[in-house]
Amino acid sequence: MSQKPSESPLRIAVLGMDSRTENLFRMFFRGPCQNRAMVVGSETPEATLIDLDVPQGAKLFEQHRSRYPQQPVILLSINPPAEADAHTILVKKPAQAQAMLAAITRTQELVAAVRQPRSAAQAEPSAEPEEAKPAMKVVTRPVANEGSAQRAASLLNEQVFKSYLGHRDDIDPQDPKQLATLFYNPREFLQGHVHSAWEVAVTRDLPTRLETPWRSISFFPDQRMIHVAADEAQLRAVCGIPFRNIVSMDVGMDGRQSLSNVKTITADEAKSLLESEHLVSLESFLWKIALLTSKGRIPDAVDPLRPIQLKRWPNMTRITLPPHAMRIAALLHDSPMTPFQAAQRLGIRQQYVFAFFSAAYALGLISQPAEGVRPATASTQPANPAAAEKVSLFKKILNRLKMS
Amino acid sequence: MSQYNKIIFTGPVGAGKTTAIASLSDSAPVKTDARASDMTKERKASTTVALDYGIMNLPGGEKIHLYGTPGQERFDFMWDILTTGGIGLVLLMDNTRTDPFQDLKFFIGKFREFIDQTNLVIGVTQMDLSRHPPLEAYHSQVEALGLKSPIFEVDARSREDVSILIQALLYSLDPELEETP
Repeated sequence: MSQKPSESPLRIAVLGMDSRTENLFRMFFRGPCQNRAMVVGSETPEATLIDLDVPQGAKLFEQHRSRYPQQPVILLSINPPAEADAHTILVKKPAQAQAMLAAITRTQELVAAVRQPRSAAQAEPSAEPEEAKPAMKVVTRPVANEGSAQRAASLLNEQVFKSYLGHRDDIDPQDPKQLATLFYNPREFLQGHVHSAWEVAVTRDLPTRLETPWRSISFFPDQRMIHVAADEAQLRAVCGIPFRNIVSMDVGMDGRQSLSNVKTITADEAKSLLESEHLVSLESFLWKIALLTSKGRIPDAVDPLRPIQLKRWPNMTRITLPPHAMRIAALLHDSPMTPFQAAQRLGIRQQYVFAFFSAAYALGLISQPAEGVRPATASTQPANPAAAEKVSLFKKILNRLKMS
Repeated sequence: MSQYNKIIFTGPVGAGKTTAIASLSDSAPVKTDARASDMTKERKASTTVALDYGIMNLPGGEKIHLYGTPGQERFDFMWDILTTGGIGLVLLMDNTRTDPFQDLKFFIGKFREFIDQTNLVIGVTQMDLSRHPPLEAYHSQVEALGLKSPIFEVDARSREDVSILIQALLYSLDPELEETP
């Protein structure tokens, strides 16, 4: 009768694999194998994974088995041997998730079977001599530095976007009254002060600090980095209110003091700030404060009735993505059109297009082609069954990517 | 089954092709690595000498095959075979290389016909180790070659990063795609 397997991940050592292959399996266990197993280094493994096809693979397995006759081994091979001992589970390459999951379950049963008699005789010394512990060096690659400078993309779905930035109804572009509600002036917000300070830093080509009664913000033109000691909620709050108002609220300012002051930073101070956890990339910071400030409006310097075009894709893996950002980027990069037309073409709320547009505009990624350029209006529908099949396949891939 | 069922990953040695495929694949990738014996060994101990292969299973039983080309030029005879039926090209660049733009031009040149028929996305890896050249410089280089491609900073170990790269490839091919099946 099989023993009840453990519910915690099976601890597996890998043998005869380089660090890259080991990392592949680390990800395979974490993803497709649903965390049912984990690659371990110095901790005592419950089982060992051996690739029989590597040079010396057979010899490694033989040596391992002679030292640990009862330890479960998952043996990988394109052509697995026809037979194996009772403690060896064969998995044919390419290892499918299902086959590996079955092997993990079987291994856990074997581990449980070995554990039971041992726990029944608790005073019994370990069956394995101390020197028989695995004589392998598992080299692990450090996980990517998750410091704020390399922060991954943050995806705002429609609900989160609404709770962060509020809801704005679509407007009729032909109605001047409605159109007037669409604009905001970045210079009245923190966004404008940050942009001005960045320009000063670039002109001076020196680390520079923007001092405001709210917070200090430091700029590093060489590294294209910004230091600001504020969390997401604080940033959201300060971006949402005209800067003069929030400064007055916070420090009771009566207008005698300037809202901000730009100074050069000493080399020592710059060095210390560059090692801080509050460092973010320039691009992701400018993008974010534009998104938070605009709330789905557009800068007053822009004519939304003229076609616009995205000059380059922003660095989508390191910025906060408003809803439908990828589609908006692809469409506006493909051909010029007004933001209203883009929203219509994609069948989405105008606010999402305006939010994307404002953030991209803050990074200098938007151009307005000369007057007379005709905006693209025709929707690209699949012209034939083969094209339709392709579109259907692409949709399935997208669903698959977004589900996982 | 669709005849377009492959996504091709290419790029120089050590750019993260194998890892990127592993982060998306539903099966452990088949790798054909061997101990590096030429100049490759200066960058890593083993390298892919044939190709990497992974699978993404889709609802309805369809599969997307993920192929990674070997990083070494002497295997480029395989590249034409690989691209047949490909949806598009994912070019991974290693930002710590001596001259990444030489790599960029080389790979775009080798796959130009395929890129013109489909599309290209570029993921720049190792930017946590080297911020230079910046992405803007990659954009300028690509535009000088007459292309307009999405270019993102990527950690090949991150499923999310690689997923965004593939999504950009698909939306570039058809911006009006929706997620609903």
